[in-house]
Amino acid sequence: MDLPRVSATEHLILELLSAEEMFGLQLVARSRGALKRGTVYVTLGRMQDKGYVSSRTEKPPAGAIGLPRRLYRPTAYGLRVLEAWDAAARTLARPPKLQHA
Amino acid sequence: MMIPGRALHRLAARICRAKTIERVVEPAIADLQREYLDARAEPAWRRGWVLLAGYVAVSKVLVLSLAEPTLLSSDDRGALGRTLFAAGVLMVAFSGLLIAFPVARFPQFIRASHVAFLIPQALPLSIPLAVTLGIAYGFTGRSVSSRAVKIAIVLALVGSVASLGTTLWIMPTANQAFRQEMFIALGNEGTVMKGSTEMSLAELRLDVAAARARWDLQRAREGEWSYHIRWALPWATLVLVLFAFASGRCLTTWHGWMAMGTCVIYFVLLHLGEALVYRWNAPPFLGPWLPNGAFVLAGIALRRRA
Repeated sequence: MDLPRVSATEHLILELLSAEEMFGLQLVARSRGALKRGTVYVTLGRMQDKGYVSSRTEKPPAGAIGLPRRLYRPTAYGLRVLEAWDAAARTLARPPKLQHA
Repeated sequence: MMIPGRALHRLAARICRAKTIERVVEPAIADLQREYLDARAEPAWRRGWVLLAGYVAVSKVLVLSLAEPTLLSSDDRGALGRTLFAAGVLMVAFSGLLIAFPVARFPQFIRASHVAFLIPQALPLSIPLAVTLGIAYGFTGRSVSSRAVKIAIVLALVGSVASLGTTLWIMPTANQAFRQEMFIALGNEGTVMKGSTEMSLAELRLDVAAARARWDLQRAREGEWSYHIRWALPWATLVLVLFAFASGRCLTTWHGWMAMGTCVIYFVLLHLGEALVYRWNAPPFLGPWLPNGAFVLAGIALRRRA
């Protein structure tokens, strides 16, 4: 069985999106420099392919011009992957129990 | 009303897959457009910065989208990797040489922090040289796909956009900061007067109008040359790269010396344009745009011939 892989960038995006739906630019702003504007959209596209996030186009307000913006949210699968990786990180961070004879 | 990103959207439609455009490119352009519209009430420099940052980001998105590993052969990745490496090294080397001249004028006053002020004035010259030679090094003698060629063209476009942002906004401010530091270091007080290369575009237009009003035609010509060269020179990167691919068609016939020769011819034409403007009173926009126009026409002629 192939376990899903999550890069540090994807983990951060899932963490940020678990709080609320966001635009790509909002993710960059909330990450305080950890996410770069040029790469966040490519990463989000890849995460959609993996099934970690889904997106929808924003309903543009009346009179709006330009392309409609895209809002991102984690999928249930993406949240499970995030939870599993966080649990693994917590488990590995604990000091190993010494085995007494 | 100006809506940024339309040209990039049309470019993306020509070079990216539909799924990539919908999922990756359009969200980036939409965010750029919204950010620009939200900055309408801000000062011009802030709007300019929003535009520059947005265009650089979308250009990066295009390059990253094109360079998806599954769609590029190892030859393509090798060619692009070598191009990026060579262009990076050459840009640092050429910028270093161009910075050395002003440093040599005031060696006893130059501090490390002053070098940062000198970098922007070097970039519009070093970027086209570095990218053109880098592509000759990376692509010559190798069999690459049209996708890799498109990526190289997008890289050249990114170089031109970065150079344009530098000449329009960053270079004048940095030049003036350097001149002010040297002015104070030489024992003077107050603020050093701006030359044509230190003025913003708005200041240049006012200066040219004032010079014409008092019949100072030499000063007016200098201002007009400075104004037009800031718009024209950044496109040297894209023009030279397009010419390279048009003339090589298959770039296997292009060598480093041909790339260097092309760059030399570009700057010879630029000097010719300067002479046309200053000595023969040609229209001021003609001189700076002469080499770009010449290479575009030559590229079109070569493509038709091929």
